[in-house]
Amino acid sequence: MISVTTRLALGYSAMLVHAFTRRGLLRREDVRAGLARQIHFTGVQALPYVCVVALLFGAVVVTQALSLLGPDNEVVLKAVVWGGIRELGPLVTALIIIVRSSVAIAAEVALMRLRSGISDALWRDAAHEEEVVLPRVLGVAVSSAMLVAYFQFVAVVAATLTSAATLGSTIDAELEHFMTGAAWWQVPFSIGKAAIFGAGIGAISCYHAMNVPNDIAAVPKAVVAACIGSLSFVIAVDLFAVLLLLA
Amino acid sequence: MSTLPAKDPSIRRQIVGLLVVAILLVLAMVAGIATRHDLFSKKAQLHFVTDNATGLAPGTSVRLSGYRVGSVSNMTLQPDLKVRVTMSIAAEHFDSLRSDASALLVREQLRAPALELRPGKLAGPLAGDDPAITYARGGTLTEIADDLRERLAPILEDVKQVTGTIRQQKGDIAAMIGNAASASRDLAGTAKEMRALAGDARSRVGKLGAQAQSTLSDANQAVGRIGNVVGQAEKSLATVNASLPGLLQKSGDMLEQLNAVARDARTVSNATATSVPGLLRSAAPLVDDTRDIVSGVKQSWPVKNMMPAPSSPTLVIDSHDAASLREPPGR
Repeated sequence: MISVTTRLALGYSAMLVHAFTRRGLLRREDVRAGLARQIHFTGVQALPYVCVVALLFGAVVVTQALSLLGPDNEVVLKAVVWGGIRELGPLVTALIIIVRSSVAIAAEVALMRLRSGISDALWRDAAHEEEVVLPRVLGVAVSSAMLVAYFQFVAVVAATLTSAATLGSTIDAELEHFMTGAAWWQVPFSIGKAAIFGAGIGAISCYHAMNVPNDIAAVPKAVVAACIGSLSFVIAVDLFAVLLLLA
Repeated sequence: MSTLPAKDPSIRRQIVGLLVVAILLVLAMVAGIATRHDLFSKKAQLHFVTDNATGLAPGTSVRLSGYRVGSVSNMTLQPDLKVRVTMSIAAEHFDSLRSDASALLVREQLRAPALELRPGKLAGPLAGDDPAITYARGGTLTEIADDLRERLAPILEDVKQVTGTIRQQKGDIAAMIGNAASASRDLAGTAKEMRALAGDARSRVGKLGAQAQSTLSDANQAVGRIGNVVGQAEKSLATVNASLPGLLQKSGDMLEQLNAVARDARTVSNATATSVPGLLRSAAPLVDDTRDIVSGVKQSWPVKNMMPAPSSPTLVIDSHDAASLREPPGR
């Protein structure tokens, strides 16, 4: 079990390193087109879902917590509001990406491999490898970061407006509470974490798709493995980030 | 890989636009948070040293009158095992701190600890080169509850003993309750009587009040009359005051004249005292001579005829009963 985990970790890392070292290929039009397509599918098309979740979180969870524990309660603001936004934003975004894009990437790349008969020798061909992996890893990472930025903004705006409406205070006062309860580094921290989530999801999906056996029955297994691997990666990175903050 | 979306320029513009908006939103949020935390404003440092920094941590809010003005920026454990806590607050609020300023750690359940700055009342401002303030800790609800528990535990123990004693003497308590019930019934009767008495007293008091009111009105009228009399007396006194100096002057003059009269009388009396005795001594022979002359004139004619005849003298009844002389004796 440990060996499998180690092999997967090494494979995921190798995929990320490959994508990073081949970043110069972004100068090629087809790679940029692939990147744009991945951002479109993963980021733009997922934006409504993320905004709805952020709206519900800010309007319901935050407002209810503030009404129960006090609108000027700094613990609520720090723990529930910004803790939730900081942690929940990247996590929800990662889950949406896993549900929508990870499985899609895995299935797409696996079918590409089966249809084009990509062999291990061809896999090592730089042209094919970088065209498949780099746009997806980078596209999912950028999309994830963008979605988290929108998630945080929509959640804060929804919480501010709803709190002002339900608690009878002013928008300026609620905004003062939210801004005072936050730390400036929380925003780039969560966006950076989301980017890592996205890059990892892209790399893991590509890894399982690129390593699918030459059998159509292996495609669902690759998709499931990509989904489970992405989920495990997100949880592991989130746990590491929490431990880093507590340290 | 399908190339349709990637070839569409509008999709690329849409992606670029969303990314630019996302970057702007991130920058706005970071700038907003930094501005609210006064990261771009001038800061001032102040510190205190405490034996126990429990509840404090870097980032703990520092408040002034409940308003967040800064945070704990640094905490260091000194060689004497005391903790030096440095706070960073907005420079504009530093000037309001006096030399006796202090910080109070406020901790409440479900709320983050916060340092409440108390500006102080002395005239001198807080020293800029060594801005040290004092520090105190407020009790948490748990500490207050523990304190209350320690105070209430003996009381509850006593109550427990009392209730145990009461439980043991249940028969006596039943009798007491019976007595109390009868006493309450008597009390109800007494209350009824008291109510009647109160009604009677109320009516009497009402009458008394009416009488007192009329008496007061009479008294007011009398006072008014007295006031008039006093006014008249004041006028009379004013008149007397006006005429008194003249009267006094006249009295003085009269006294002087009386003195002069007295002096004259004394002079006359003195003179009389010297002359009257001689006159009195010479008056006696003169009177004798005058009597002889008058008697001689009376006996001489025609004066003698002009004079009334002398009446016969009446004997004095002194030897028998006067009534026997006025009534004749019986036959």
